[in-house]
Amino acid sequence: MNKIHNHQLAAILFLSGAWSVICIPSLSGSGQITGTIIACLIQIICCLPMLALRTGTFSNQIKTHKWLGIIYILFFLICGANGFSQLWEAAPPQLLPSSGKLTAAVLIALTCFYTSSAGLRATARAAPIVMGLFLISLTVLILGAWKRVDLSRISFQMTDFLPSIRTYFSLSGELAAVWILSDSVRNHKNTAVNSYLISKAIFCILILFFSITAGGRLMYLNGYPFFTLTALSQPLQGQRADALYILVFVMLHIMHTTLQTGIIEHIAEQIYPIAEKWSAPVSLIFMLIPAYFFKSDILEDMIFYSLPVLILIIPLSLRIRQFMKSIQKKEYSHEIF
Amino acid sequence: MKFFKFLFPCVCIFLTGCSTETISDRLYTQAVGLTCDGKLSFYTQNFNQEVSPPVEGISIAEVLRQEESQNGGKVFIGHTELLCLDGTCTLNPAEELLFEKGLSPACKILYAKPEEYFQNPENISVIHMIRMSEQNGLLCKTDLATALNEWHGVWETALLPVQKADQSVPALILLHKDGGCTELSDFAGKGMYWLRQNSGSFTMTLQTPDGEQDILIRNCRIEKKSENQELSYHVIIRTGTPELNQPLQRLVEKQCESAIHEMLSAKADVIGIQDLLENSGIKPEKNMKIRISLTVTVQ
Repeated sequence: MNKIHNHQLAAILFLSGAWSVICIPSLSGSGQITGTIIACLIQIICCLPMLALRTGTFSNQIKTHKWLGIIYILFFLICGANGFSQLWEAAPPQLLPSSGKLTAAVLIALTCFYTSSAGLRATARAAPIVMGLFLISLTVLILGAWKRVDLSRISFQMTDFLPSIRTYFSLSGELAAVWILSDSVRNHKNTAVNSYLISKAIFCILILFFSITAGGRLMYLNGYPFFTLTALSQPLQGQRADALYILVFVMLHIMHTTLQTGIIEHIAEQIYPIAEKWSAPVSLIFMLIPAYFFKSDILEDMIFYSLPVLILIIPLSLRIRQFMKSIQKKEYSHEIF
Repeated sequence: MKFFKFLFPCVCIFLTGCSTETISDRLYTQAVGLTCDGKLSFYTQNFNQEVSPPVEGISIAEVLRQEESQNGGKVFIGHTELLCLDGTCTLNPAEELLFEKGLSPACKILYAKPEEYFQNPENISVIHMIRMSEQNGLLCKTDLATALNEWHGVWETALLPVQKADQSVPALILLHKDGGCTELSDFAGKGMYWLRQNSGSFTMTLQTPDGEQDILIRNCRIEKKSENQELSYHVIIRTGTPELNQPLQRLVEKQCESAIHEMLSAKADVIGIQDLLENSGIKPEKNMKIRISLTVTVQ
């Protein structure tokens, strides 16, 4: 994989995370905002060992320990499958009006096959453009919801936030990609990762804030706050904004799946160079099959339980090993002198 | 792989023009009506002010299919400006229309019998009447999303406009879940205007000892608080005519008190009482006693 810029890294991770945010299944109240802030802070701390590792550690490790690469491949397959499962469960009829959900998933998978064939660098280059379109749609969404905001519906709550921390973590599968992608970043990778984590939390808080204040009780009845908000946020009287929301919905899913596919391809290339050619279509098939059979909450549970191992325990143990080795080296050099 | 990379965007570009649907294959509705007397009856009026004969069915999906077969076009209700409902249907089917069939959240709901309303295509002018009355401060803002929000509250009521017999500015009614309704007096209806959403500027006429005088309302906002089960509503009005502030304050106070009294007598909540109680940790109940203190400041 060629080098990517830090802002491209932040954009690609954010867009993948934004897909999970728009698929938050339910709204539980103002405590969810507190939970999101706490979860974001925990994630910043969890990322420290990954960012402290030397550049190239991941590539070196998976070349010597192939099982490690396979574990990460399986994890990203689950994340991709979860994305398709969310597509089937969350997509409201007005966002996929003519094609059914299965047709939409197959077409998106085909597009992802095309986008991932260009490699992760091309995806990273496209990310800031997609980000621009995403921001335009977000502005329209906010403008539409603004006139319905009633601040008396929201209050600062320090209770009932634990379930939302869990939800936020189970929707943060792309965190494991930080370690792999940060090997390819030229400089300022800490800034890129922090800006991704903070901007994702801000986006999540914005969606929750407008869902609570503009949507009111309708949000608690329908689930999927983002999609309920899109139905309520129509800023122009003579023109519906659905097309913009469809665009964002599809683009975010494509970015999410392309990131997973691209990383699987990148890992497979290093473990078994012969697998490079077939890893993208095979991984897409292996994402669609579990997505068809498993509900997203089962896949989210898998992500939630495996995420701490992949983002914290493995990088932390490697960092400790690197540290011990450097101490041993120093002792050895002292003995020589 | 290179061939595929080239072929894929080319095929996608050509597919964008493949739709065979034309504008005449679609029915864009300006007003729709629903009654649920045993079966669901669905009424439509398009933007050419043509009313279709009503269709009947057991579900929204079925009546939409029947409407499509009858009109020879796919029904699109995304631009609908008016939803006409009566006590038989109440707001129960409106949620499905909003979230699954793409009805606009800003669509106005009129409380009227659809079989009578759709007899005269010119009745559609009521939409403009409602909009202008809202802009001119004569009627408080109501729409589908707001009404549904109120409908799903503990008190299960929604505030809807209703046409008057003399075709003047619509009145307001409180529609209850059992299909019954309570009509608000004109005075209480005006009070609702101050007690609900914040509003923009307009001019109103005030009766003073010196005769009728115009007063410019620059801005009106409401501050709501809940302390120890007592709710306080503070209406703040900014005017462009300071000498008329006092008579306006007295008038607004009377109007708001009348609105609160009539609303609480009808066991309804259309001014956000439930949200205030929930935010202060009180679980609202249908039969609980509510105390509201009102303050009006005219600056």
